[in-house]
Amino acid sequence: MIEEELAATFARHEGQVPAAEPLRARIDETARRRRRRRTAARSAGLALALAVVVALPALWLAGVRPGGHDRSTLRTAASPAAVARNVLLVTADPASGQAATVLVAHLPVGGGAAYLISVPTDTMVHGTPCGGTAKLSCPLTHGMDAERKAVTSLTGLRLDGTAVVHLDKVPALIDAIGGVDLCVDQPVTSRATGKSYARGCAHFDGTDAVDYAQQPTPADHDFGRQRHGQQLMVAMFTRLMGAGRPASPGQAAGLARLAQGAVTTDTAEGGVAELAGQYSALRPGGVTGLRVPDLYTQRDGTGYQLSGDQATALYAAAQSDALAPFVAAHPDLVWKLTG
Amino acid sequence: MTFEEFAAARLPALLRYAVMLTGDPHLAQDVVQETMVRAQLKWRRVARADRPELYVKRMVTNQYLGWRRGAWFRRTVLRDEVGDGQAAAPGPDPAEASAERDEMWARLSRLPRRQRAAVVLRFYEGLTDTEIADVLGVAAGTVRAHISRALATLRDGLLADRTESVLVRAGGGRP
Repeated sequence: MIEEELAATFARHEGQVPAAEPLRARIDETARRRRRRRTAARSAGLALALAVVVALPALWLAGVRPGGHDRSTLRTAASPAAVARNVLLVTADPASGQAATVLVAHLPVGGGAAYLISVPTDTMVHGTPCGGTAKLSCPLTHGMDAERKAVTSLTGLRLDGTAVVHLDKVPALIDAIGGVDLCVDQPVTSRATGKSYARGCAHFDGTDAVDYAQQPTPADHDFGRQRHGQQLMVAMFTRLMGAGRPASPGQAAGLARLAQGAVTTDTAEGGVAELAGQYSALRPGGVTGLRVPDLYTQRDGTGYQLSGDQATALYAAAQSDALAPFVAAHPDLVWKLTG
Repeated sequence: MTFEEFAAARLPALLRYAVMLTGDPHLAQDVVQETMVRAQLKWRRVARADRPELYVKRMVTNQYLGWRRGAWFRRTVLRDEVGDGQAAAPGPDPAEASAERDEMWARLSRLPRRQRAAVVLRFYEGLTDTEIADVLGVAAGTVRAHISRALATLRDGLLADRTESVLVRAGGGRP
């Protein structure tokens, strides 16, 4: 009897229950505010992680789960990188499946610098699945593993991670950070779109930026393309550290989602947060762009780049984490990446 | 399950539970808001629970049990009691029966808080002793003791109310 009275009492007071909808909005707003407060101290790390994620080979990316950066992902106040790392970054030509970009990012001990080394895709490599001797662009058609083996055998570098960048997904990512500022060093007309890019600095949207960066240049052909690719990476990094910095965890999550779609990594999840922390001192100015010394040859009617002594010395310097003195001794191999 | 899905499915029920638990819509709203904010911030842990809705119910309950001791609660309860007084004020109640039922609600609010939580979880939420024990973080035997003691108090209270209901209501507080 008392039970029935209780039930009746409860039922009668259901009329007092507040509406869920307005409360739902207040919950989200309060959670957002609190999360922002909590992440304020880490926001530099967050922006940077995303920058590194996008601009550098996205070794970090695998663990930046959409919406997952709020608590655990960037919590690690990691000490600066205690070991040097090399990460292989490639893009694929959509038509042939061959590598259009092969780039090794060398991240020295200390975490405050990065070296981008563009390896010419027409470099001759041996023992590939493409009938033995072939261009470096070919093994990718047999998968990322084959490409990685080819780069390892060519350079002798220990590769700590690999990433494939899907160029068709990059424009949306660039647009999400509000475009990028690029300085065109040689006038270029796109073979893909017919669009002309005049000399000088300008603001690019995602589509134009990616189109421009894929074009060979009149003066130095594929080397110009390699350089523009590096410049685009640094431009994205710069943007993310400045005007394109995500204003809220929600925005950051959106960016991370786009970045994840644009890059496939082989890095195990979970290491990302720690890695991002280890490179938190990195700034766009700390990125050095390098080209591999060229040594052109023809074999059976096909042109190849050969890996000469200077190239071997460059790779050896990267492997022993001694690129700073090497770069100082070879200023001709350094590309200007900004301004 | 994402937090959004959880909130869409469970928020109304949590609010209902909190109103019955606290006896006050404002307090209920504050308790649920605070709980859901915390749940959202640690959603991964919540989602890993065997039954997230029980986990969140426990959070709501703890929020209520804990907040009672704070200055915040005193403030809210004072506001609440003033509000109750005003609601009960408008003259002689037209229906004696409805006044008695309001007395039941008032009796509930005077129960020790754990007893009240156990009663609400049992008779409103329809949970088993084991589930209630889980929510309250006590043994099932303790739950049964809470409930039987609470029912006894409510019964006595109702009897008392029926004999001297006018006096009690005029006092607006403990007899």
